[in-house]
Amino acid sequence: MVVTKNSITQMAEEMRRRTVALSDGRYLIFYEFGPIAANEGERETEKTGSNTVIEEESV
Amino acid sequence: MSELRWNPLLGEWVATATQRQDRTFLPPEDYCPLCPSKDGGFPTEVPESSYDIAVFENRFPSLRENPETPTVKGSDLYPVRPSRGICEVVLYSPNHNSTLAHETVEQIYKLVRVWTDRFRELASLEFIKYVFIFENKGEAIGVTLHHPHGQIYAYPFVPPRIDAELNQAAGYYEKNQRCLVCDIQDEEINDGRRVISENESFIAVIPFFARWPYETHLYSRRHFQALTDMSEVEQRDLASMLKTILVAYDKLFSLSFPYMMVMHQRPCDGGSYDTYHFHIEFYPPLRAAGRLKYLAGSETGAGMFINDTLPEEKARELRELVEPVNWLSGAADD
Repeated sequence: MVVTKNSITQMAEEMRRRTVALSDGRYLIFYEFGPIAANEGERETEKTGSNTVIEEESV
Repeated sequence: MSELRWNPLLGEWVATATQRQDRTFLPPEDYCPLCPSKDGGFPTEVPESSYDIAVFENRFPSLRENPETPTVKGSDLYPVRPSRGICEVVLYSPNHNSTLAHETVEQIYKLVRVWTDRFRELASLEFIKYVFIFENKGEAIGVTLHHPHGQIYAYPFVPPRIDAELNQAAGYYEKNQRCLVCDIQDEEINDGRRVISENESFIAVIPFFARWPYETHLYSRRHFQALTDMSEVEQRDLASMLKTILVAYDKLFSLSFPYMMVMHQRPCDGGSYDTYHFHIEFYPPLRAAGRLKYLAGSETGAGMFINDTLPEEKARELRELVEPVNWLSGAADD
């Protein structure tokens, strides 16, 4: 039997959750990891104009 | 139209969900609804050009937070209730042709964190009594979309299979003052023949009582009840163990191995379930290359499974395919 073992070092990595309300009433949640990108605030749900970001938080 | 109808013969709920007949069926890659949307392409479920891991409410749910009124009137014999609950789809990767087995351990670790967050959030809802995380993979299982994804059903009741396990665990504890799954682990480790792989936090076995030829269980070494009880080290070790088993599965017949993967955790109905023990079960439908194990008369009609193989032999096959995982690479050994 092969015994596997994690050798990775701890990574201080934040997980963020961005919740989008879709036009048909459903929700879509993006889970994002790692440092916040410089242009993060500029990102938008560009494909359908009727979607709305309703919540953004670290989890 | 959907509703929950009571089956008095078995004492369990059945969901009708007629809208699911219209769900997307094996679309070509260019029309995959789970891929990121492309400029000039058709709008998918994800209106952005990329994502890491995404979760959305199923467009064709069996359960929904605000269900319609049932189409039929119930009776004392046949109770009916709205199909209230939540069905989510979890997208593992933006890469259409990937599978969980092909993802890096790092990506699987992210998924474990997402599963944990979804469990925490859904379990906090008053009308949710059980959060069931699972994946159906492969056309042999009946998947209609190949894009790598899993699902979460948040039920308004504790489903019967879980209820049976809870009762077994509670009864075993009452009799022995010990956890049933902890004892199963000890038995499997002491015997050794059915162990596939171990790490510091998890052990993978084809259990003594396996119903499917390659049925694999992942047991946490520490006694706890849910994803939210896990330490970061345990989350990483779970990711590593999932990668180990999935890669071994794919090597078995040199194909992308079909399976059902189900996560068994405590209910979230406010009860105490200290005797229960978190674990994951895989039910692959193949009994040999190109040969399916069908759930026929005995399995479906009587509930007694007939396993055409010996768990000791199947575990040895898988054990010989296990290789150490590389945390950051996609494959197990590259």
